[in-house]
Amino acid sequence: MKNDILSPRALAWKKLLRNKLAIFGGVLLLFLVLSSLLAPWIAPYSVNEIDLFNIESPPGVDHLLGTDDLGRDVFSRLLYGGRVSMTVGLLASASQILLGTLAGAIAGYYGGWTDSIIMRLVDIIMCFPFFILSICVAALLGPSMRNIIIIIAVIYWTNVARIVRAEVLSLKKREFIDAARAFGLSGWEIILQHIIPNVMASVTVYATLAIANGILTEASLSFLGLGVKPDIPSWGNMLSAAQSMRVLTRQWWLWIPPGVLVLLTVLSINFLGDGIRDALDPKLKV
Amino acid sequence: MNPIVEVKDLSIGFRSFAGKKIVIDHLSFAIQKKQVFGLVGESGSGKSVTGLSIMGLIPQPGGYRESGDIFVEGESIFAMSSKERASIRGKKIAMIFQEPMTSLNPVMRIGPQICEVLKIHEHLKKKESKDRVLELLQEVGIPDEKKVFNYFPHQLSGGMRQRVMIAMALSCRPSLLIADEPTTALDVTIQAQILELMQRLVRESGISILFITHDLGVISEMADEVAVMYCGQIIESGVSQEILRNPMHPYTKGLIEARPGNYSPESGYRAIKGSVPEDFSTLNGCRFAQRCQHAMEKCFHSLPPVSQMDTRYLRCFLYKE
Repeated sequence: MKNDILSPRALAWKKLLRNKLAIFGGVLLLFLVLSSLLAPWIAPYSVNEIDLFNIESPPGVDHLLGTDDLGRDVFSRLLYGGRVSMTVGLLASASQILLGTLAGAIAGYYGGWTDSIIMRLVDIIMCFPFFILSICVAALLGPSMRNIIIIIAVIYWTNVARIVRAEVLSLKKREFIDAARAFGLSGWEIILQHIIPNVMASVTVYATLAIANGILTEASLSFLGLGVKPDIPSWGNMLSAAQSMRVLTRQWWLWIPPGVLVLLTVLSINFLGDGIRDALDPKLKV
Repeated sequence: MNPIVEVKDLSIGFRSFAGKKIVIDHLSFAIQKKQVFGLVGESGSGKSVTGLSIMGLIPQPGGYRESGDIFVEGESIFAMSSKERASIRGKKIAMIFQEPMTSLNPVMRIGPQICEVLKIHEHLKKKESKDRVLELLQEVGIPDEKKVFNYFPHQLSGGMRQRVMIAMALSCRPSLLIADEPTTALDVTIQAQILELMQRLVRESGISILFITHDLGVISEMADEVAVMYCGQIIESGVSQEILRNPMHPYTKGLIEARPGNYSPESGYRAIKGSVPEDFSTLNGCRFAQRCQHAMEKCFHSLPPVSQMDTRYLRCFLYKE
């Protein structure tokens, strides 16, 4: 037996740090996150500052990535736009994980009627076409960042619930759950102390991928005009400029940079997520 | 003296698509203070279900109580609310399981895992419960308890894990420890150590043990009293040394004959012929009649009543004068 005690978490860290692609994803992500966090200090212009002499000007010395149809600096808006995209990704991921893990754990642990009701609800929600549902909600509640997060969380928690439930079903047959009951723990104490820590590995992996998915969803909804309000920059909002044929063919600096940023962010998160999955899989020895 | 646990005429059944099936059939026994009570029988005879029922944990889905009652220190556990039952588990009755490899939570360190039980039942502060846990680990013979406190279960061997389970079970000083085949998964030398530890606990802390096993050798070493189960019924019970030395029921005789020690190259193992009937709740007569060499006509038609001979209870027509 080794003297230094490596917790499963420390072991996972060690494995993750040896995965080059994951490290690349992590570093790239860190760079993107920092640049949008530090936007007020990096950005040469403020978000809605209008330069009337330079409307729709191509990238140049004054405006690193050019300006849009209102003369706003694209580079500055990109930095600020990252904040919206990433906030949506993070919060939507966190809330669907919270909702899904609890629902899945309760359904799996208690079984019977509780299970049936929760899982049928999951089935029903999964039947709705995503865009139709989100268009309805956005139309009713109005487009805003909060509403996007709510829409994503309410629709996607079902995936987490299914993953968690499946794991709990096999977990609750394990003897340590019997032992916990024999020591007088209540159902809630068992779920919070013994079940949820044991499903965290797969939930963590799903959470990273859900962030990427959230960013993409925000971009798609904003592209359709159902996302955040047009005056707030987000990558999806900026992409929607490409709906005009003139912009698409002649003003590449308005839509390629936000597109590339969405791509890079999602890609780096996916690399990191894959790395975390490998690191948390006890069957994979590095 | 009042018994710690008294099982009275208990019947437990399971409901399923196929219908009802009784797995424990009018079981009665009592466990006294400082007593080691052995429950023997082959797989499927209802030993483990009996143990779980005493804790009020009839296996789900489908398990239910058909009749009878269980009294823990004089109180019926079926009359309690589920909250009261939970407060007894771990506090008055604790249980250890067959597989020490899987009965600890793999993602929790040993120390906090035991502390949790103390937190629930004794509401101890963190510092107090840590001191108590270190004491307990020492008591069950774990060397270097300060280090083990921070270990994860996978860093311990099977025997050490079973010791941790015992420490956990003892944490709230229960009056009864239910040990469901606690040594079956361990190798022989470790088995001996664990048994010795349990004997010491009975001597020193005055705990009672319900010892569930199919190992007659362990029973002769540990138990003061023994009950032999077959198909959900106790077919013979009494003082363990007497029963092992002079078994009367043909099944008990068969079990003792069948020990590996009686193996001879010429005749092989002296196993009991036949196998446990699949669905015994439909049988009218003695559950063992089909496999019994001494079976009489009436054994197949009517269930032999329980008769008492000195300290022994017996369910067999052979001895009913």
